[in-house]
Amino acid sequence: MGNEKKEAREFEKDLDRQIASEQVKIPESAESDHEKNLCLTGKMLESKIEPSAAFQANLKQRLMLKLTEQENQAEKKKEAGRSFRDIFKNLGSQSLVWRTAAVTAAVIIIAVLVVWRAGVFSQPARPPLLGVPPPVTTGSFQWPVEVRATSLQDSYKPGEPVSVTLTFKNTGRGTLTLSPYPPQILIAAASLKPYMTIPGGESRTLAPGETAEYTVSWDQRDNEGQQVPPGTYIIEMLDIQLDNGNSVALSDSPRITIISP
Amino acid sequence: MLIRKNLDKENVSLRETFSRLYDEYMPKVYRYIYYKVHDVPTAEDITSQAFEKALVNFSKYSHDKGEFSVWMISIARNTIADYYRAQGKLKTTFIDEAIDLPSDEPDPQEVMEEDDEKQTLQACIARLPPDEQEIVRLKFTMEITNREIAKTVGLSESNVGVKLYRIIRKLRESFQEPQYG
Repeated sequence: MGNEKKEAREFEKDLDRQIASEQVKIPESAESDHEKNLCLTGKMLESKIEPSAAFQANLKQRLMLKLTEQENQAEKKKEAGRSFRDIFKNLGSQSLVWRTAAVTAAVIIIAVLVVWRAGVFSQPARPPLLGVPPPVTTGSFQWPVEVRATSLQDSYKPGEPVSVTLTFKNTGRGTLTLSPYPPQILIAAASLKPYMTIPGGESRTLAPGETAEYTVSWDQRDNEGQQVPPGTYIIEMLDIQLDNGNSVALSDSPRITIISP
Repeated sequence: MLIRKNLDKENVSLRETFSRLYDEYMPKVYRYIYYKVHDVPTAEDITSQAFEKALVNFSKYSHDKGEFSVWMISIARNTIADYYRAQGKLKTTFIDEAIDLPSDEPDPQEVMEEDDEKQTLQACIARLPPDEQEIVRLKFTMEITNREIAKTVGLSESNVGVKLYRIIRKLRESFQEPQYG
């Protein structure tokens, strides 16, 4: 096993060099396992398909146009922000009464925001359940909705119901509508071969700070009603549309294992 | 693979960063998707959608929170899942026709007789179990490190290394089988 790990490390090093198009010396009469493996991976890398140049260029052009539109919109928002700042700047040249009134209003707004951010107006957070593994979250990418998916267990016996809970929290400042809600769930093998599709519902509105929970129970049967084979399965939540046009997805989907009987 | 990190350091514009990442990752993402759907127009369609999603959310992406490749793979996977959902609405059986099903794949020997080495290789890969196929696809289409694969498939880096090594050995045997068997 130790030897295999060492061989695997050597192989990884040379394979990464092959991928980076660096020269990896392989004798013509490749004899060792390592050399034969590299011969095959060389062939695999040579046989890779490429997208057509026209498609590549057209898509890039389309994306860059879209980026320009996004930048223009951001610039407009900035302009609006600047006008707001200008109003405050102009107040400086006004009378003492005006300045006092403006400062008082600003202090009140800031105080309300601080109290609101501290969660005084939202429901208290629920304590974590004992024995529940840390949630898998969308983590890295901050959508206005935080989506967490948890499974009570990492592995299940064949036939044992698999329970997955999806939690949606509106972390934004406005009310949002999730559609479809409950979301459509896809249970797939690692290759994304779908085993089971659980259709979604209609929609759900979430107030700022509000949390909604949806639990799915899967009986380990595929779309044809057959027990799925042992292995690792991914629980995917298909994209949910927000009313502002953005979509929310699980960037990291929970995996569960069905063990061999 | 550290391009975004380096670009952050160089303080280049969002437009320039996205453009460079597109040039580097677009062919890889396309390949990853193509081997899932086995159809050029569909692969082009899903690749376009995946990059559009990436563009919309790009300002929220930060390298400190994860590799761009891993982020892009998750977007590609979600977009493929959306594609299956849409197909499911039209015709559910298409899913099984489009995706790798080891038992339904042609025998590598049969393929070898009528087609070239490239297709034999693909047939051998398609006969691997789904989780092994995924590791091979990630390595040879996305061309990412074992550490990045580990983050995507939820295994340890050393586990991915040993698995990949074993898979290549297995592939070599099945690839040689029709030739010399």
